[in-house]
Amino acid sequence: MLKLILALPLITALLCLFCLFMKKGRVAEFLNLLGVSSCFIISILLLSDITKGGPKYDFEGLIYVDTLGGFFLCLVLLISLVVSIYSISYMRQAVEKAEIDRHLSRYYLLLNLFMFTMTMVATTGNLGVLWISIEATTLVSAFLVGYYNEKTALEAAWKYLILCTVGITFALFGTVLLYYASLHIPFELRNTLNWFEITRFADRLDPSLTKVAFIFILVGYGTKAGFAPMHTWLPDAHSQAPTPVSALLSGVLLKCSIYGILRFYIIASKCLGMAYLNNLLLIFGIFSLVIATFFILIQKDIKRLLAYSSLENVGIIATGIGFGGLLGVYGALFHILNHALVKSLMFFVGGNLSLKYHTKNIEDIKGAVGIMPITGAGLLLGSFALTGLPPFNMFMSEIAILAAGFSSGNILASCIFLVALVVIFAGILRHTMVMAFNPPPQGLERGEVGNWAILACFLLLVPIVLLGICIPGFLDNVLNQSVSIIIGEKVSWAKEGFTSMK
Amino acid sequence: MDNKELFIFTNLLLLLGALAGPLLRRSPSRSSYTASAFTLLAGICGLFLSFNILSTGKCLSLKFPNLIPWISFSFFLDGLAAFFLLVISLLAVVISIYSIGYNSEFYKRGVGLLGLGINLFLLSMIGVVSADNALVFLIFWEMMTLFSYLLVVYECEKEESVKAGLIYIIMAHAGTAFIIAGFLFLYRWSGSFDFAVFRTSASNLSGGLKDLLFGLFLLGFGMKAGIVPLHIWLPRAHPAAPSSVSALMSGVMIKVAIYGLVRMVMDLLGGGSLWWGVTVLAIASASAVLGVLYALVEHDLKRLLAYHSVENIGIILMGVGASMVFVSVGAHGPAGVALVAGLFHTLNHALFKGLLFLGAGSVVYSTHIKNIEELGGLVKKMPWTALFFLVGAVSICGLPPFNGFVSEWITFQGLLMGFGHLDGSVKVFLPVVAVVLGFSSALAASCFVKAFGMTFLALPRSEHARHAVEVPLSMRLSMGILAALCFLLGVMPQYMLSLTGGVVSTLLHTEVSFGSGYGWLTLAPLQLKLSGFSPLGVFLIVLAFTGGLFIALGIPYRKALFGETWGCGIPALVPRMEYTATAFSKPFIIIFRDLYKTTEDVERIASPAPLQPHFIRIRRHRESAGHIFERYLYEPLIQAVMNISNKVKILQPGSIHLYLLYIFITLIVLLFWAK
Amino acid sequence: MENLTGVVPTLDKLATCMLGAAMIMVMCSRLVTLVYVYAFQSLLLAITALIATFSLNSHHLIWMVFLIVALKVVAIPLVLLEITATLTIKKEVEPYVEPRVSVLVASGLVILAYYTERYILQLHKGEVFTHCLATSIALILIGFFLMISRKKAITQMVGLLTMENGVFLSAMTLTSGMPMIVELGISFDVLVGILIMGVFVFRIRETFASLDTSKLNSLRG
Repeated sequence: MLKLILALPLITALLCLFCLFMKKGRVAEFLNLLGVSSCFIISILLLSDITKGGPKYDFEGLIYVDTLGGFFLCLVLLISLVVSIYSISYMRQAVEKAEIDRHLSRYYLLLNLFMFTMTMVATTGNLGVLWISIEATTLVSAFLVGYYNEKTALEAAWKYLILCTVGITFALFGTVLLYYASLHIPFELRNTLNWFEITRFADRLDPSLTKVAFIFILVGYGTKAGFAPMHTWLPDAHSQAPTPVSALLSGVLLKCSIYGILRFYIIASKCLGMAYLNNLLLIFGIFSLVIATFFILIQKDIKRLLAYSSLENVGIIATGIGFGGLLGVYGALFHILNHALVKSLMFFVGGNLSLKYHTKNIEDIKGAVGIMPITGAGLLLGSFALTGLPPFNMFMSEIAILAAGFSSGNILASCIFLVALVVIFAGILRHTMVMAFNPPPQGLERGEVGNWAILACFLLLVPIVLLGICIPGFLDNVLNQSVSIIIGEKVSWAKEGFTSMK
Repeated sequence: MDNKELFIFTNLLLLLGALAGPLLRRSPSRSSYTASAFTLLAGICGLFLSFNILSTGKCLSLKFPNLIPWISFSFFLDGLAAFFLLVISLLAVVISIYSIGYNSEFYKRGVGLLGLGINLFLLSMIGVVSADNALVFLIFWEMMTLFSYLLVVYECEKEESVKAGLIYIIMAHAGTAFIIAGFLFLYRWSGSFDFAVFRTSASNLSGGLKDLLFGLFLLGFGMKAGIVPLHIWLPRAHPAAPSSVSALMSGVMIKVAIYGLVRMVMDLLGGGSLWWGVTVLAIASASAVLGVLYALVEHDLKRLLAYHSVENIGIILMGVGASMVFVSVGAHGPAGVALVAGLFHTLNHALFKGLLFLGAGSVVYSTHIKNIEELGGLVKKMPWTALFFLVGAVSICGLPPFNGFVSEWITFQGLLMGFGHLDGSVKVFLPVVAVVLGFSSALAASCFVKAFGMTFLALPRSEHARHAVEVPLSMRLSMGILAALCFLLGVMPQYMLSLTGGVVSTLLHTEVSFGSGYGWLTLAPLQLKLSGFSPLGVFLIVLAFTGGLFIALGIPYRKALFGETWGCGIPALVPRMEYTATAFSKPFIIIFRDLYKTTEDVERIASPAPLQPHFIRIRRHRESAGHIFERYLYEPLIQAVMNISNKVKILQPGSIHLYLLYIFITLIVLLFWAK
Repeated sequence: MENLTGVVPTLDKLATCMLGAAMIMVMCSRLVTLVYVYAFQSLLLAITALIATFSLNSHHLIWMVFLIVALKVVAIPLVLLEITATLTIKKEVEPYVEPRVSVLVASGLVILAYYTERYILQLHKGEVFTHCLATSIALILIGFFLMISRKKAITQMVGLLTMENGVFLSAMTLTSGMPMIVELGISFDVLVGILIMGVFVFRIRETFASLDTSKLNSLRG
């Protein structure tokens, strides 16, 4: 299964390349959908295997999936699946409107390569390969960001490429330093960069080296994850990429880098203790949150608005890990899932709107509920979920993180967090509610943009609402195991004073 | 059925009603009727449940499996919760009847969503009052905001509604943030989200922390209750919603905030310093006076009512605040009386404000006009509506024999009773509050003279008002129920007061009774013979006196003569000659101009060329009673935040080199910090 | 690692030469020179790798030598020269910071690098490659400085490559190379990265009629 999950996207990519030569865009569409959905199913099966039977590995640990990796793997493939479904509607429309003159197969080729690189990130057991795959995500997605080949798209792609590559170079240096540190633990480790082996002996690493290595990693992967003040590429890239790609960037690419940071965090925390690392993450998290707050208030472009909201949510995730404890880390992981779902939905809705209204300018989009009832409803529910209103999923993770903040004694940070959330709430709803309601502009025809787009929105809405009401046992188990992996000790709700499930 | 089943049944019915609305959307009338029927049934169940709990004093405790690991899904209905459940259910019943006729307004725009919204709104309010866990409370609390917001923007093509809704949801959410902070502080010190644990651990908290918590809860719940100066959303949002929803929001939702305040501050924190109560009283006084003052200059019927909600929240909080003052000095007897006053006024306000909003809704239903300047003469066209509105108006002014009088009277008693229990400046403060209460009631009376007079009396001042017809039976029936209840509680409040007294007794661990040995005839708080009175007796005396006068003057035997009204020699009387609402409120504007910060704007349009400029052809006089809080508090605040944001924007000027520099600086700073 | 003592001074000297090359990069004002100096620096890196291969007994590094020579010394400079030749009218570097000031800044960065190595990293007692480590940090910082202070897209690429050289230097000496597969993957990524950047440079040139990245500033706030 491990090999299959990596091979499938590659095979699909090859077939898409074939379609590119044969000029059969529709076939590529179909192949892509087939490939991704089978990958997703396999990943779920894999994850349930792992939660029961422990980690799975292959190729001497080059591929190594534990629960945490499996969680990210499923996340990547889930979002890829809905993005693939949405792409069918969106890209067809884009081709019709001659926004792009290229063949669809090219898009699906790149999409599959992108998915492959992200799958690699989640499945590899080697820190070097982790670096390689994260760098590869940048390289592939740069083409997707610059897909429209307009001035602004090129500018965004260049900034994305340069800033992220610089960041990732730091991360490489950090990896080298960590490897160097690990070489000083003789005997057991045979020149390995496998994190699962390093983790075992992490307490014997040299602290000062590990610390500097972690700083380089944090700045490096942090750039890619979009921590302020290294986030500057993020709004540009998200706003210029084709909408399905924006959803992927925001929903999972940022999370892949966070996954990278988490792997180093696990190692470094054994050697340095949690406190220092948590403080680092907390500072980045809160700073991202605050910066995002100000920028959200003044946005005029819907996709940029969503991009800054991603910055906000990355901040929330970092803060959650920084607060630590079962609630904090669990909340952060849960928030990773929630944000991916909600943000993809919002990007899809935004994409539908901008296709319909021919603009990304917030002020020109009005009365969506009347013009496009389903998209309008999606916009409403999505923005309520995004701003953390119950009964939607993001409220649950945010409240868990906040509770962790208070109980860990970070009162100031928690209060900033709370205030920022309120201001962001106002900032986002101020825009989206006017877009949803108000009288629509004259001369717009009623109707949605495509059935596939609606299907994608529905597929996302279901878990958004359900996860706000209950966390299924399977997911709870996965998250609990992942938290145990990150914290390094067995956790359970009962130990935290919460009555156990059911 | 036992209480547990009743509770589940109530909520299930509401859920079903919510689903029925959109599912049957093909046929608007069927969808509306089904949703209303479910609401009605749920309301009746709720009434049974609350009476069960209130009369027996047996609490209901429910635990559901944890669907989210860190949220224990538990509910607890004690007397206080049941009392508010009673208020909610009562209005639910009335609204569901009202909706049968009223919803035909909205058949063209998807009435199913209205049914969905109202049912879920009711469900979330029931959830709030019955939650036994801080997070469950929060979830329902926010759902309440969300659904009421959706109902406010129900007529979403009106930009005004959208704007009102936005202000509402943002302020409500900001309030929730305070509540969240309060809960999380409690969580930090108790390690649990359960109210029961909060209650036991609150006694160990330090005074400073308790003060902080009180501040957070006051701000949080006050935002939702609409206390001055956090009220600005209220006069915008309440009128924007359909009238049945306005009645729910004004009648019930803001009371749920009172529930929250009483539950958190008086129950969980167990009362505190003297200054808590004094603060609440000060805010209550400000709300009462400013609310009614703003209502006086308001000519939009529904907005006028909304301002009166601010006033009445003030009156309710006077009871609650006085009770807090007494609790802090250990005078539990007066504390009980004051709290009963607050709670009883809560119920009464729900009744008469619901009635008034439904009346206003009926007026709007048949005229589509909300501005009272353009109404008039409706008493002839809509006699029933006029009668019920009058009952509501008399009640809200606090005049006997209606319920408003009783609760305001008890509030007075509570406030004045403290004289013997307090010292220093507080001793004087409470009577001052009582004066404020009297003052605001007087102003309310003059305001409703305007509201009723301009709307229902004289001649119609617009085409729409001229063609108004009486509303359908269901709407009249629902208003009738409320009017009857207003009267009933006005002449025989004893039963309800004893139930409320029971609630307060368990809450404050003291005995509160209003009996005086004469059963249901009289009222006497704390058995003080001096302050007792008999509502029924008063009514009977007034009735006998007026009836006697009626007969004595021989009015029933006189033959009515019909003739033309004398018009001072002017041939025909036209509506333009009538006294206007603007004119009515002008004296108040002059007296209170410093409070209103009125701005006058005179526009002169001169006559054409040869006569110019000495002859003014048209002279327009526009006067707006400024909203001081918007102008001096909210607008500068928003402006400041936006200014900062625009300054922060400079950080991202698009230069890749600068961005690289950020990364560089971050790295260097971290490296140095690492050392 | 008994045969290290003899090699270390040589490696140190090579590292210093790489640093010197970086300083020349900071100073030089013509694009072509910049690319040549980069090629020379990469050659030094290749020699370092070669020495490390034999003295540190890490024979898989020999592949790295070939890779470095093929990619960094030949292929990438050729690509860069090609871009310079076909795309650029003005062959100057166009700095934000003047070369003379730049040298001062770069010297400051070198001091910073040594400071980091000595006081923050605090390597193990007996570690012989302290100088190499400090140099590689210096190379990373100087490369980064080049990216920040030079306007042209190509100079940014060269800056990035210099940073990578720095990382490779430490990987070569400190850890005597990463595991084989990782090294290959990294080299592949670097090559692809440069090619992709090249593609974008062409596109930018087509659309903006300039390679000045400071003009890419329409996306703000």
